[in-house]
Amino acid sequence: MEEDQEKYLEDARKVVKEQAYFMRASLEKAQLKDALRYSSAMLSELKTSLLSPRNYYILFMQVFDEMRILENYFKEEYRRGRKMPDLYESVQHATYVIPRLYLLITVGSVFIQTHEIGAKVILLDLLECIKAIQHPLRGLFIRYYFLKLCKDRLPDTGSEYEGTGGNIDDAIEIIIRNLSEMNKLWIRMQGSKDKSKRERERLDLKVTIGENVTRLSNLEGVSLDTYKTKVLPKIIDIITSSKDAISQTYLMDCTIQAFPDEYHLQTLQELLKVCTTQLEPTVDIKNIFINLMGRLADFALNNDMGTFNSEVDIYSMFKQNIDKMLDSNSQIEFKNLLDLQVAFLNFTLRCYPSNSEYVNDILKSCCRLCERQNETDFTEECQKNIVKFLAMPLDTMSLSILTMNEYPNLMKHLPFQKRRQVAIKICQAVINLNQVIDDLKITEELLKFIQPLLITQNDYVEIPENEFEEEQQLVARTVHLVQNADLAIHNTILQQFIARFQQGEINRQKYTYPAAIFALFRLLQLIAAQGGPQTQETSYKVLFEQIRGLIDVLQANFPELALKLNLNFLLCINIVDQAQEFDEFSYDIGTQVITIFQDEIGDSNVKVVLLNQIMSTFAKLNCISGENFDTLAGNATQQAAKLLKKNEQAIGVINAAHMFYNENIKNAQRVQECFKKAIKIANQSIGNNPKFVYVFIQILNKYFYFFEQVEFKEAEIQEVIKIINEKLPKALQDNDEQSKKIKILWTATQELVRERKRRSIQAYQQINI
Amino acid sequence: MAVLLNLVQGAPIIDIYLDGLDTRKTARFNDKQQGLIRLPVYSDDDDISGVVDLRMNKNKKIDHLGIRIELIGRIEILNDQKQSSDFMSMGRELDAQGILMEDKTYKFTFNKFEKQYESYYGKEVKLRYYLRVTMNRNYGQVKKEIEFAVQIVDKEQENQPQTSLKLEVGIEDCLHLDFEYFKSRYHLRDVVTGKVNFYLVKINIKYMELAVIRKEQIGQGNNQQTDNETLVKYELMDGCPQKGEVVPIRLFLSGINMSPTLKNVSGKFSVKYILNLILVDDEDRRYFKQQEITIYRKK
Repeated sequence: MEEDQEKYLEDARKVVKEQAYFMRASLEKAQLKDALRYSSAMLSELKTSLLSPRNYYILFMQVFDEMRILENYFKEEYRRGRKMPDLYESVQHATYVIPRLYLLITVGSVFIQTHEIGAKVILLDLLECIKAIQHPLRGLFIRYYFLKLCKDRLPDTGSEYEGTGGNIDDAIEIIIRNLSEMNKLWIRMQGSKDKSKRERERLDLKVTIGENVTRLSNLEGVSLDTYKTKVLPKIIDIITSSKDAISQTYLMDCTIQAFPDEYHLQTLQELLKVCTTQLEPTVDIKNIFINLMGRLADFALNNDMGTFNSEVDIYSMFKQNIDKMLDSNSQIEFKNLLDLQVAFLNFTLRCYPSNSEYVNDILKSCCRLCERQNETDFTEECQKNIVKFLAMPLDTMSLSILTMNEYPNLMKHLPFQKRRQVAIKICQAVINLNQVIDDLKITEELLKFIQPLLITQNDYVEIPENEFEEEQQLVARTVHLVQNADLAIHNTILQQFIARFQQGEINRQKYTYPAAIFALFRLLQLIAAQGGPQTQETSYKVLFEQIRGLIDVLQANFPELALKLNLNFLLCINIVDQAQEFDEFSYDIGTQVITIFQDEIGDSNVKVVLLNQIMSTFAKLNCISGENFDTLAGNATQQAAKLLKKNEQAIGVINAAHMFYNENIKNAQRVQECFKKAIKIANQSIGNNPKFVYVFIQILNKYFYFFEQVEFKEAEIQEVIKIINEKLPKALQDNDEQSKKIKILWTATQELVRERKRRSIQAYQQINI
Repeated sequence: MAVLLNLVQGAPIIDIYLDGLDTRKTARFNDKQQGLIRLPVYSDDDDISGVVDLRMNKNKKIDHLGIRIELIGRIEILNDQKQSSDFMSMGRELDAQGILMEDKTYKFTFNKFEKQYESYYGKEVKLRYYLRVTMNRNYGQVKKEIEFAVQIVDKEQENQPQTSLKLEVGIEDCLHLDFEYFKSRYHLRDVVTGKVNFYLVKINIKYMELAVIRKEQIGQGNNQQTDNETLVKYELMDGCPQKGEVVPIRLFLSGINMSPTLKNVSGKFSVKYILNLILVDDEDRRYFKQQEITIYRKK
């Protein structure tokens, strides 16, 4: 079939080319009669029934170009004295109607230009004659040709043809008649066989029909008033008198696209009425509305919003008409109605960004619509829409939207996965809004909506791990938005979250608890900054205990996490409890840290890292009394000595020194002990592994750190240097990674000493490396 | 034999020259024997006058029994010469019996000669006018004929009121339409206008055309012969209309070689014109309806 088409087209194009050649040759010789004969033969190719609409269009355009030449020749003929009425008659002698009418239109166009006859007379005569083409495809094209040739010959307001040639009413009448006829032909193309192919073919041709509407909109004389009283009613007439969905859809769309938005604003009621009450049920009204609303919203945003709000109540018009559609027992699919609601909501949010009442009203309608449906009506598509529906207002409006009573009503129509999606969207929206969560009522609603993320509901469906993690992190981020100047309220809101988290099971708590805990830390700091707790609920004790409880829950499954949280907890206490009122409590937490480290952490690499964190945290603490602290720090030092590798032990122990000498504590003796112990451990290994010199260099550096605060024995240091000097050449023998590391560290150390010496710092004068 | 040849070769030459040909209107006819011919046209009260030019053609002298000119109107039935006959004949003596010694010219006039019928050149019949000059001699005649045409303006037709021709036709449950020609009488350069209303279309129409048929009827009663000739076919509509469609009819007659309608000319023949509206469906079945129209000549 497709191949045949190509051949048919090629053949036809060849004939057109050939005949056009002869036609032009005759024109050059001024043999009009011959030229007409050849042009007739050329035009006869348009009689074909073999071509698809697309290919017919290609052929048409080829002929169209050739006809321009003939038209120009007619003009010259006129200047040379040819009588136009004679030519207008003589082309009508042609036997076949297709060539006859193409020629007639062409002559007619020139005839009008001579001003010897009124434009209107010729145009109406042409329109009458064209009725002879009842074949849909050929009819559409000849009328398209008519439109193209006559577009500049209409008696439009201000045109040279206005006056004796008619007026704007005639111009409108002419195009409307053509539109009406073309529309009929277009609908007739549908036929009964091969529905979808026909529909495709029809859509290929829609621009030819649309050209009429474009012409109308281009008429100078079509003012708002003319449009309102003369153009639109006639277009609507054409639309509604056909019972064809494709045509109705296209013409509505075309009208909306072609005319200015200002006109639509003034005729909105009519447009909407047609859409909602007079179109075929299969017409995609949603799309029409979406286009219309889209354009009006753009218009509103680009222009004076004042007009938009006062002059015409656009919202109400849409609302009434959409509601009418919802409530009439029409056959419009649920899905389409939902789509429409979504579009309307979108429109309202754009144009009335601060009017939450409008939003709630739309939600109400949507609920009403959903109530009426059977469960099976809620297809995937519909659910998606409801999700959009719930999430959209959040993007632009404040969180207060959550308190609208229609929200949960809509939500209940969704299955778990969709509710989860809504919940995620809500979380995202809340986060994107970047507004604080400071209201109890809103929090309550918010938690209700994001419940699918918070607890395992009845219809819960397992979610892939990575998605689960993402959603839980969203929840975690939400908690951090909690804030209120009144810290008691702040706390209450936070407690609401925590209460929900507690129902969420350990796999969620892994994410939600740390978030809650950190939120509590922040609250505690705020309380401290305000001079201490004001209420029982916000007392340190209550909150501390709560935090401890939360961490305890995590400990069994996530010991490392619990350990780190405890460390942070200590840092938090350290800020709020400078007075060491919670000395024992803090000590317990510290003990807990050591216990977890000792009993629950197995991986030696993890241990090294964790112990470092523990010791650096301890080094900052001031909230634990001396005795208790000594115990804790001692314990930590012991843990260092128990690490797996000797180098880790030595470095761990040397790092422990920081716990004993810092801002809060100055215990030189314990520092010296740490050095001794570290050197002892290092010495055990240096014998069989010269690369252990690395540890010695680190120890040496640590000496330098404490140099100015703690007094060390000169010999001790010299001993270390001696060992380094001794072992270094061997350690650097291999050119492996470790050797390189050693070399870098050593060079840096040398540089440090050299620099300190330059600055004449006393202690370094004895150091020779 | 030699003498005879000499005689023939030496026959005097007669020519007939009509007056005022340079200003006289002419008309073209498609004659079956002669092909396309162009003749001077006489109508109303026109006289026909001219000169007859007789040349000796190397003869020293010519004995003759008299020279006559006749104006003859004749109907010729092409297939049946027996039926042919003159419906008029008028004669004038140009010269009495005598001897001609030199070339001679005779003037002649037929004042306001009777123009009862139009000239007509059809397929089976023609009605022609001609002038014939005859020189009778003892041993045979010398003849010369020239044709001319008579056209009659029908003022009566022009002044009569027009009626439209309207006809409703159809095939039950299949096709139902009516068509209307706005006039029943047309002059030769007229335009046939009208419309076709489709009320029911259940067949798949491919196209619609209008044919102009000329009907020649020769003889009368049982012996009457009829010949139909389609003069032109004109496509009126492309494709299949739906009910409610109205398709216009517009046919310019000026391009068609027609005569006025001729009714019972001298009891010999009639010429009628018929419009035939034809619908052709996609299986090439033809549905048609014929309607006679009157054609007349207008000033």
